Amino acid sequence: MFSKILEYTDLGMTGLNILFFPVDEGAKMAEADAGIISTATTVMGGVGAIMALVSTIHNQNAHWTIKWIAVPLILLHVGALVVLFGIAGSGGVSQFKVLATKGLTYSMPIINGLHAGYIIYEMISDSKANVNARNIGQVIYKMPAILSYPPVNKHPFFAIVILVRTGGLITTSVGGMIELLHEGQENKKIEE
Amino acid sequence: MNIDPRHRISKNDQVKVDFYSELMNNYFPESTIQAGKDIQSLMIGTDRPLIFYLDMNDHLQAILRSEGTDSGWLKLPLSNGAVKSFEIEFNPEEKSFQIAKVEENKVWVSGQIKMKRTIFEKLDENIHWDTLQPDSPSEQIDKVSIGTDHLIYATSGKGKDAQYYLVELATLEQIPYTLPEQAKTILHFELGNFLFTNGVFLLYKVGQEKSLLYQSFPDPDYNKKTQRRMDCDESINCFALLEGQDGNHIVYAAGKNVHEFEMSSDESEFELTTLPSNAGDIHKIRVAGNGEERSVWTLHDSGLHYRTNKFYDPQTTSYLIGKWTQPLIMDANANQFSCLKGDGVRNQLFSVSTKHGSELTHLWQDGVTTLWNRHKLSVTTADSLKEIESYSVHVRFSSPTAIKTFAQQKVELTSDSHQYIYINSQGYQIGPNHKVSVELGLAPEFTIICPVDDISASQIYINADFLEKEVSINLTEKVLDRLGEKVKNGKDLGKAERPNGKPLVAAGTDTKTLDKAAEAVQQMLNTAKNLGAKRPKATAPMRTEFSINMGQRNVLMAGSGTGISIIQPGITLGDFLNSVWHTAQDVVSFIIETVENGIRVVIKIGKEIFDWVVRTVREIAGYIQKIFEAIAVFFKDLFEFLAFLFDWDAILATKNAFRDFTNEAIISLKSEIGNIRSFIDKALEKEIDKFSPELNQLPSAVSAINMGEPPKENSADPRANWLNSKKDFVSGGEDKPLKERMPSELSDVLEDFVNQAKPIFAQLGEGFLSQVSIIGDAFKEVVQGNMDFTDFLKLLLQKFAGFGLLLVKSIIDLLLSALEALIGAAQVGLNKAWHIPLISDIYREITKGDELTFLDVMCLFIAIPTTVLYKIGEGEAPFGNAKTKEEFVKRGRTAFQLNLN
Repeated sequence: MFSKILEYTDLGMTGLNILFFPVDEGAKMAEADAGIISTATTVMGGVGAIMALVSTIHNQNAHWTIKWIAVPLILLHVGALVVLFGIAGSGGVSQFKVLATKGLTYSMPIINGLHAGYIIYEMISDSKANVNARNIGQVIYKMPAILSYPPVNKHPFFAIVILVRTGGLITTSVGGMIELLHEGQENKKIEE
Repeated sequence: MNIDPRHRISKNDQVKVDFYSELMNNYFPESTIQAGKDIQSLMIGTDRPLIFYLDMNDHLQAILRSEGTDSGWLKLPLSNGAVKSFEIEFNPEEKSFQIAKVEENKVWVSGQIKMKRTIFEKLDENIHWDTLQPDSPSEQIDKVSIGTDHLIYATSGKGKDAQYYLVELATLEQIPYTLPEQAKTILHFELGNFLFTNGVFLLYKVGQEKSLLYQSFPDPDYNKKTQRRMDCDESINCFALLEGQDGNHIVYAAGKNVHEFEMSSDESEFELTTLPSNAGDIHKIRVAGNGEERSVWTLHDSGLHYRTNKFYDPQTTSYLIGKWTQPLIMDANANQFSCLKGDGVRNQLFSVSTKHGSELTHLWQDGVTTLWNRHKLSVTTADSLKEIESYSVHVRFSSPTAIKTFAQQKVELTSDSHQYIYINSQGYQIGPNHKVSVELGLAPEFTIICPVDDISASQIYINADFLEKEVSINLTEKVLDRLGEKVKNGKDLGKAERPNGKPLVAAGTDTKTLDKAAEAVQQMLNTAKNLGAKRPKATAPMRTEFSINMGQRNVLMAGSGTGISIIQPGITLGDFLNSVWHTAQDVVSFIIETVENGIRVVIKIGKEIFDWVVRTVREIAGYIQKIFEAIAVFFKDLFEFLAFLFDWDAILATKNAFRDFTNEAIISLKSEIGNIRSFIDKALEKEIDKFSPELNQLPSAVSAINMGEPPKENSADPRANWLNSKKDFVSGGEDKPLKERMPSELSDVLEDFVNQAKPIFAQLGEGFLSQVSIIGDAFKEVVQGNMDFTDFLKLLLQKFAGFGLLLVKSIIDLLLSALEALIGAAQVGLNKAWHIPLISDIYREITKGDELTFLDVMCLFIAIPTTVLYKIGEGEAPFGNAKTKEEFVKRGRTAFQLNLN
């Protein structure tokens, strides 16, 4: 039950990210503020990554090397979220808010990129268990995040990067749904 | 943003359109408008009304139909204080109008407002007002009326007879004006044109009789006045003017009947026509015209009635212009109203009922299906919530062949009948000749929300330069399919239950009625499918007949619809369903038979026969609704039976579980930081130095990744994607002042952290950005097919190994030393109250007043799609029982515990 809820939560967050992420990136391209959408996009991405990484830490069968790479990645995501929540609490326009927002703008692309690298490494280490539509979608979504730095993200070509990354999220979402439905059918068969 | 034409999607890219339409509730940050006295309206463009009204404080306001704005209506204030009287005069020759109002005991008259040149959205800012005052300040101005060349206003004073002032609009010179001797008691006056002169129409009282008189203004050369009484065989209660095509007004005077006075073609006299009427004394009359078509609206004790000179002839299924219909009841409770006519939306009415909250209600009749629609006018306000029943459809585009962007591409939408819809939260009117153009953003998708008050809705058509052919969206398809599945026969109908377990049809309803109603519904559904199909199936002609006593909602006899004599009222399906149907208390007989490309519907109510051929899905769905109403199942019941209902209690339970889980996890992380630090000290630095990704063994599935290939199934479900249509509202979210300020020492920790992190990024500096640029160039090569994905991944991992891990090492040390303090700051931030437009209002509604914190917002965002998806996948809500929630929350405590063995 617990893991099933988490899987649906993951799907729900991916679905939200499909809706919010292009808005946020579009706003960044135009140097505008997408407000709560931007915060939500970072939260969805961060919490989703932490959920996946934490489940690796708890997975008895996962390889030691994968686990130790997961730890700093969890910390990086937690750090980013904590700073984000700090921004939420800072109120008004403070020196801290300006600095922290800038810090996140520069950290998130590389944190996402590192997470993508980690997923690829996971797929290399145990391809049978980890090469699936969800992970492939995550790689397509997270890898090109490294391009989200100004001035690259202001180039007209960046529209294609956003399209490809959204496609990655859709792949993750569809892959997740198919897996869940397949799992449901398998469980039904066992019950029968 | 400039898009390289090579990256633009085109017709050759086999674009796929994916959509899903569902009947469900939606919410808008809108509030209804309350109106007090007097409403007047004007058509300022094709099907674009501008409504003037006095609000509850007697302030003059205007409401403008404004396509592509939030609610589709804009409110424009036109006075600072209370207005005693106002009038709008449209000049058809100049294509302009003027407003006159009485405010602060002055007459205010606007300059000429030209239809073509005016930016109506800024009308309130751009009106130039001139003011006029009576000779003595002791005179109180009571009423003003404006014509094309003159204005007249009436004053009263203590112990004095009423005074009148005539104003030349060109010079604003005013002179006292004397009314005809016999017209001592003036009940109503209005300026207008008649007998090819300018003048004033007066309704006056002599004894108990009320008469209508026209008197022209003095001829400038000979000072001659023309005067004409408009005699008819009864006492006149009220009158209304309609601009005629020859420049003269057509006068409609009403007592018990309506009398039309129109200039005759020989230009010297006028002709009198008395319109059919049977509803008793008329207290108020308004008229609207569009070319030769006219409609007359009259207020009686029994309610608001209307008649039109566009008479429907069922024999030829065409209209006869000039033959008047019988008056039809439109609204039993309206007491203020204004009417308009148009092309696509053929009749529009703006009305207020003081009995029912004084909300300004818009009733409009679609030109294609003739169905009447009703909704309360609303304007966007940040702090209110309007719940509407709607068809919601999420539309998404993709291409299986190309990585090209849809950004800035235009999509055009039309529909088979006229309807008001929202596209990406912006209000539009859509129709067969009323195109709506939407520009796609970076995400090639949009949401259409179509508010409905029955189960019918228009078919929507999508066209774009990148589409090979038109795509048609039948909004009602899923709901009608569901209905067909659930109500196969009378037995199913009798057993049908709503989600709360209550039966759909009242217990004890006659089984024959249920059988016949289900048969009729199935017949209509089959026809609806055929209308939407590219190749309609050949179906055998069918005929269903049955009768229902609307008083008792019971079947009388099957097959009683034949042999009835036809009294032809000349009304359309929409008029019939809106006006006659609701009054039916007798036996109603139905005959439904298939005809070529449609269904012939014959309904007999009392002595009246209605005969109509239904040809659109919207009409069929509207008619199905009426079959249900005949067995006392109304839209509210059908909505519960067929719609996707958001279970807010379940969503709230999921949100609360997520919030409690997060709080537990944060507490656990705080206590776990020591262990993580010791693990990092012992192992991480050493391991990172040794780490080298095994790049040469990328699995074949990873190597074969094609970034341009879209997912095989690309669902666009408006249920799980419910927040999509709200993102334009929620992006304006603002934080409220903190009740509990973030402790300054935590703020210092955060600032120290950021200040220390800054040099780390600076150290990476330009070298890092140049590497990003190399990755960017490589990505372009992948998109253009010049580099394979494996090589791109290798390049990326190589760059990460150099820069990424260096950054990780530097940041982790910094992060660990600050994390404990930072978590405290995060908890303050997370529990801070936030105001998110719409979401906060929905939250307050479902929690009966709770404040939404930042953590709540995030958890609620996640809880909505999670709960919906879980219910779709598992058939139940995730936290249906308290035990599941408790176990889930407990897991938060161990979330960050390291298990590295």
